[in-house]
Amino acid sequence: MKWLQYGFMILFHPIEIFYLIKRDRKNIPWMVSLFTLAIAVLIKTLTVYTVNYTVASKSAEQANALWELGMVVVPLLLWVVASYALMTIMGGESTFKETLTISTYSLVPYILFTPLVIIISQVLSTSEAGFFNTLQNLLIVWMLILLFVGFKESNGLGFGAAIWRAFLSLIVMVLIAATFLLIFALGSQIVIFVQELTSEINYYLR
Amino acid sequence: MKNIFRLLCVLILCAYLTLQAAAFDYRDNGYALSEDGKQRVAIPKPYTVKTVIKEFGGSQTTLNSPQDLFLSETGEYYIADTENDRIIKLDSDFQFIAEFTQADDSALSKPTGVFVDNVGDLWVADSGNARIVHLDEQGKYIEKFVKPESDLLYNVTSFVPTKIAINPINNYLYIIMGKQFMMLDAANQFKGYVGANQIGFNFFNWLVQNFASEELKFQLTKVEPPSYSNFMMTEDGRVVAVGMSSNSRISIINTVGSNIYPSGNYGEVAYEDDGTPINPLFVDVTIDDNQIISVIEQNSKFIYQYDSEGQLICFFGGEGLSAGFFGMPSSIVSDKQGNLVVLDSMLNQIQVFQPTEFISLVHNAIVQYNAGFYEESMASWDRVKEKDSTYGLSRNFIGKIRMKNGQYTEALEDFRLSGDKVNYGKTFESLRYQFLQKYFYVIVISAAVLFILLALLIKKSRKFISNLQAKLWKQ
Repeated sequence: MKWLQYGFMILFHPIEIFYLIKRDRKNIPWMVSLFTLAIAVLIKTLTVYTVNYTVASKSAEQANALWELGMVVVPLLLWVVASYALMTIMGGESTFKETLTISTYSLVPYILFTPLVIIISQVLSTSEAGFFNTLQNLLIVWMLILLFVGFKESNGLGFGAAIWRAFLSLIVMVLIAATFLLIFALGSQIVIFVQELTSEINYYLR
Repeated sequence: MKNIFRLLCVLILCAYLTLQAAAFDYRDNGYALSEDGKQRVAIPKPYTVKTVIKEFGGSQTTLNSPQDLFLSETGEYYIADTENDRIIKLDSDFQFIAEFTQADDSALSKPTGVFVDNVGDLWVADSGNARIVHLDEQGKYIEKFVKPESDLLYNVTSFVPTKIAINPINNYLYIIMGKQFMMLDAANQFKGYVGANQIGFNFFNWLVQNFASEELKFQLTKVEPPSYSNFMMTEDGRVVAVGMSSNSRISIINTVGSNIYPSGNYGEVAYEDDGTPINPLFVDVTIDDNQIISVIEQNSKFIYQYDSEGQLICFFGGEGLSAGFFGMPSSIVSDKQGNLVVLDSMLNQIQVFQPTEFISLVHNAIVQYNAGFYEESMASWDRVKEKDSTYGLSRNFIGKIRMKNGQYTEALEDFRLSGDKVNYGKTFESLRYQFLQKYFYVIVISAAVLFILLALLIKKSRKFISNLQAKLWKQ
């Protein structure tokens, strides 16, 4: 349907697609971003099993499915939350659903071209692993460019302003991550305290 | 009925007792590493203790913190009995022959290194007296070597030599002294460092060299040679050295001065409680006639064994007081029968380790492979697999032999299972080339067809995309 076609056209005319998404901002289904994220995680997990042994960086026994999930979902969601929060204060024009959809659409080149890269890796040898790494890095660079362009267009910013706000969003991402770490550390301290308290009480009552 | 019952009880008791007597010693095996190099894998015991000697003879019957053991060409053992300030000479059955305590009217003080050259003269690193002494077979003083005068030794304040050997090719003295591994000639002149690395190009250093003042240049861009802790001189003038450099803890330095041993992270890295890594510290090395290198690692008190290509064969040992374990192993030599003789400076004893059938099979298989006898090597590796089917090195070597025989698909599987990406890549390239040769025309034609299809697709998709664009805009 319409959203799949948007996903395909992102490869060729991204700015127009971002405009079209903004035009339809009132009824963007949540399924679009969820579906894209899910497919991206699937493709990333698939690379562990199907890529050629000579260029593989990790073996199937060493790979962790949750780690693969986290590597896709966590940075993207952090970016979405951070850039939306920043642009709310600094005069942005996008809603949260809009930002989420546009950011997940930047995963489309990765989803569509990674199978091709995997097929190419089947004919590569150990000394040609650099070629494989270059292809993967190209995909990631494309993804980052799409992310940035989506950020710029969906908030209606000029190029310099977009650069500056994107940089600030990165800092906000770091802050959010640090806050979570802090909460986690302090929370685990509380849990340990409660555990020790209960064990002391148990020992005293016995 | 009652008697049968009693007999049964007695039999069960006896069986229980015999089982106790044969209780499983969990350390009754040697170790190798898993394919990713991270886990220890048990293998059949590689070496068994043949003898343990604690009493030696001479003015004191026991040793006191001996730091060096040397086996001469003629089969005599020399021990640098450091805290007893003497060198002991033993025959091949470890019976006392002589001891040396004096040199040039002064007693030896804390000798830490001993070497016997091919004419039988004794060379002692007399570290307490800051000299190397050269004695003849009977212990009569010939000459001494002290700190050489050289501008290059600006940071050497005291000359405390710890290990000494003579290179039979150029007759230089090779001395390890703290962090320096240097060469001296017969006239006590400094001849250079051993095993210094290529400096290479470093942008920062180039900047400093071209634009900085003399003192700044001196302070910022001096590069020190890697530090070695011990070495062994072979008959053909190669130096097998072990040291603390980060990726070549074992080096074989040839007469030209270059390291011909593959660089790698030898040994295992241990971790402290807070996660900081403890790098392995090798304190002595020996190479036997089969070019198999055995090293002592000081932190874990294990002996690691590597072949001539840098692959780990086995490791064994550990800290302990019983036979087969060490207090603080300080020196190791290998004799002509393939035994390993280890000197322990804390327990003041010598342990002689005899190779088991398993490790002898492994050594034979490796030697046959290196000599090019691939059929015999394959047969030997099959026998190794009979004894331990999970020994990783056998799979790797079988893969290499199959690769040499052209059995590429089987070799591919062997290398994947043994985790050897480099050889997997080589086999893969050979297979790829074979495939290309076999299906050359098919590949060329299908590539051309694909190319034409792609061109057509691009042309068609242009129209498709502009149509889609228009459709999306209209909605």
